[in-house]
Amino acid sequence: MRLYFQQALYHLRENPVISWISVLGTALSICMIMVIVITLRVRTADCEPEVNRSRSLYVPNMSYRAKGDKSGSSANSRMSVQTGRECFKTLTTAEAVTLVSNPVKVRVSLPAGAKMSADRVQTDEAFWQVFQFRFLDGKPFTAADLNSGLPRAVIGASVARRLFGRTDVSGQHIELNHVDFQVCGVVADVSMLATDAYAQVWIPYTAGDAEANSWGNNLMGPMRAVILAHSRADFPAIREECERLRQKYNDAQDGVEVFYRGQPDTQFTHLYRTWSQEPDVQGVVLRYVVVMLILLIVPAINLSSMTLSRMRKRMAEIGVRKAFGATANELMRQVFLENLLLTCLAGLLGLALSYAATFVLNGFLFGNSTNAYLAGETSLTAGDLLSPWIFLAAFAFCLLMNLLSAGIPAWRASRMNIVEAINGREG
Amino acid sequence: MEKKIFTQIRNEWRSNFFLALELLVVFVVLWYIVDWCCVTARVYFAPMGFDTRHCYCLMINRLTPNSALYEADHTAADDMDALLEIAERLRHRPGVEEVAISQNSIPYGDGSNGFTVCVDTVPVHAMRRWAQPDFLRLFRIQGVAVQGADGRAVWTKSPDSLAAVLTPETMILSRNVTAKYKELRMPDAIPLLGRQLPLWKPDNDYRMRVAGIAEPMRWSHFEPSDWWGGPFIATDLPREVMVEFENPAYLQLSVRVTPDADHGFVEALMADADRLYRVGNVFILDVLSFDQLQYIEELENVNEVRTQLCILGFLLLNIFLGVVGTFWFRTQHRRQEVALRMAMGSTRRGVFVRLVVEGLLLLTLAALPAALVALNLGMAELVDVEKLPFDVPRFLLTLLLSWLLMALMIVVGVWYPARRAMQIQPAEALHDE
Repeated sequence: MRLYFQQALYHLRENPVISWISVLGTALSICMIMVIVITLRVRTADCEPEVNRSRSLYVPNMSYRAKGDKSGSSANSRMSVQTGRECFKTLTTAEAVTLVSNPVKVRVSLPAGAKMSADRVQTDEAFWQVFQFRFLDGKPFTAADLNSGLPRAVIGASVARRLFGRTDVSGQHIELNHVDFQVCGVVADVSMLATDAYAQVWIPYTAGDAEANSWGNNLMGPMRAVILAHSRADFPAIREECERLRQKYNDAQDGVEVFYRGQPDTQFTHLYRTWSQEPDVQGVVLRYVVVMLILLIVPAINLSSMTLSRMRKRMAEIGVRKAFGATANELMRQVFLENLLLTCLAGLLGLALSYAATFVLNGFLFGNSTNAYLAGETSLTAGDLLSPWIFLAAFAFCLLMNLLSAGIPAWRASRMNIVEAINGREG
Repeated sequence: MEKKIFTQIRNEWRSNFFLALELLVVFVVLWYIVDWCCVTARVYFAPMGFDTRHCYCLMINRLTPNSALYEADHTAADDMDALLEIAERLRHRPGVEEVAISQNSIPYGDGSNGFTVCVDTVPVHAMRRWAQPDFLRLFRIQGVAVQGADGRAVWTKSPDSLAAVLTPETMILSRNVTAKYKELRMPDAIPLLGRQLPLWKPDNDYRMRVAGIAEPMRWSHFEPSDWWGGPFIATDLPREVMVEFENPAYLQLSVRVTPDADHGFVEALMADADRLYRVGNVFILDVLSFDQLQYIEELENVNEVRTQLCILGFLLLNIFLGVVGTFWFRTQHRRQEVALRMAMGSTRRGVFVRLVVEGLLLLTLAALPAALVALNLGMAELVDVEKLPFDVPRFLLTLLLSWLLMALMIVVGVWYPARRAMQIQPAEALHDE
């Protein structure tokens, strides 16, 4: 085993140009694949404050049509507080359900004069259970605050600093669109990558205009729902109950009915749902697979050809080894291991490059029309990048690359004719 | 010479096979991306139909009853008067050139309304640009023709003449508004100028006169002018209609400033906002430049372009590495041959050209089956055919471009190994033999 590695290292050093080319090509491929993996993971795996993504279901959109309408015409938007309350808040199979409005710009000012624009959402007390925020000061608003419509606000650290110059400001008063609010808590800033939890100011929806801001027979409004299940296994039961509640809700409506277009969504589907369209999850997955295949196969062909050329130079050696009793299996293993060393070296380099890329290309990788409106940052935490899962994925892709690129050369080496090989003739 | 190179390629087939295979795979993918880029670029650089430089969009909002400043007895009409008053005050702000109020009509906006007028019995549906006449001036919408006071058509490009004819009883059509209705046989809407058209239904007695024809306004740089938003029907937005919207937050206030005044405009305006531009219950919530709005609207498309270019770069780099690798072994393997050639009087340049021609021939060999695959991809409409049809010039141009890109990589890739090969001393190499 050790001998193989020593030998492999020797061969790498012996032919620096070829080694560099192989390493660079592989590193580039691993880098691009890992950038895709990291962006996907950051947006779908559990990370603060969206620590429960894996057991959450999302209902971002709402549609309604005339009862029994088959023509496909419908009105599409978010849901009203009433719809959210009756169709989702009453779920008994879920651990918690929260209604959240879209972040919209709000003018934040102090009576003393400091002012700024910030992104505000209106929500309820369950929000703080579904999402786990790090409170730097104070605490979230409560169910009692919500029920009596008290003007309480949780603000992000950067808003607090900008207005007050410090973060221990709970109890202080601020104005939101010229309405007085009392700060009840300050949380660490949230990255816009937490698409459902993100805002800079959170208030109880009863203290804002979420309820008044409804239309379409009070079915539609500014809210979306996030459902927290006890575990993923409860998803089917929750979907079933949602459907029951929907029918009950529709029975009470006069001439119109709401429908969900396949929602509630899991996090991945949620990510790819655009306005009033059923997301083409299969198409999205297919696209990822095609891109990854291209990223793997093209460098693999390169590597194959180079490994094969290197084999040809070492034909005499292989012939001698065979003549002294090395089996085909042993030779294949040797080629694979030698090649694996190379791919792993390249994989490490590629992973490092992909970390660099996620910082340098942050706006490109994570920017979209939704968050470009907002004032926050799409910052990544070290936890997002340094998880063992990422390393495992990188290693898995190296292995795959290795199989793809060393397969043919290994097979050829094991099949070589001894006499011809020793004589240096092409087998 | 060609025949010799062909024989040589055949003899070296084993090592050439991988390179040829790679060239084949890459050619197909590369062609797909080059085709996509060509279509996107062609659409991107077409005229937009408007100009948003030095323009800003003001977001308006209304105080809620919870506010200490709220005036409870104000009606929707009062709020709209307040909005009109804010617009009037902005007109007098130094540096401001134009001010216009509109509803779901601004360029790079996120909402839109549809509108239907009937030409004979055919309902023509298009986006409604619902705005004060100054809107046309503000965004410099290009005119085609207007109906003058004497009822005759006047050819004009000026936004001012368009603005002059837009009244609550008239409308302005974009010239391509009827193009997709084949039964009308009216690729250009100019014949409609001056006609009274019924709204929504053919038998509607309520009609509006077509007083002007304008160039289409594209939705974004990534959408051609016949997509949604390009064909439009512009109508006036008088005070009575504004009142029907009830909340001024549903209306947009756009401002154009003179180029000299376009420095720190947003900061200065927002500093004055509470003092000068809060009237009754209506206030300015935020200001965004249209450059920002464009950035937001087009970000996903721009990111798609970047993604495609990344893959393009990746493929080219891989070809480069593959070519360097293959030719590196080859020149080492054929040291004696090269040396012999040079000893027999071949020049260094001759050796280099020979290697390049070998690479290019290999590329062309791989390109032939690749072109067949590409043709099938195109015929099956797996490429982007929504924006531009897949026709012969497009196919040939993109094939040529792909070939040139790959050829460039091959020449660069052959260069280093070839230089190393050329530097050998014939005597030394032959001595090895």
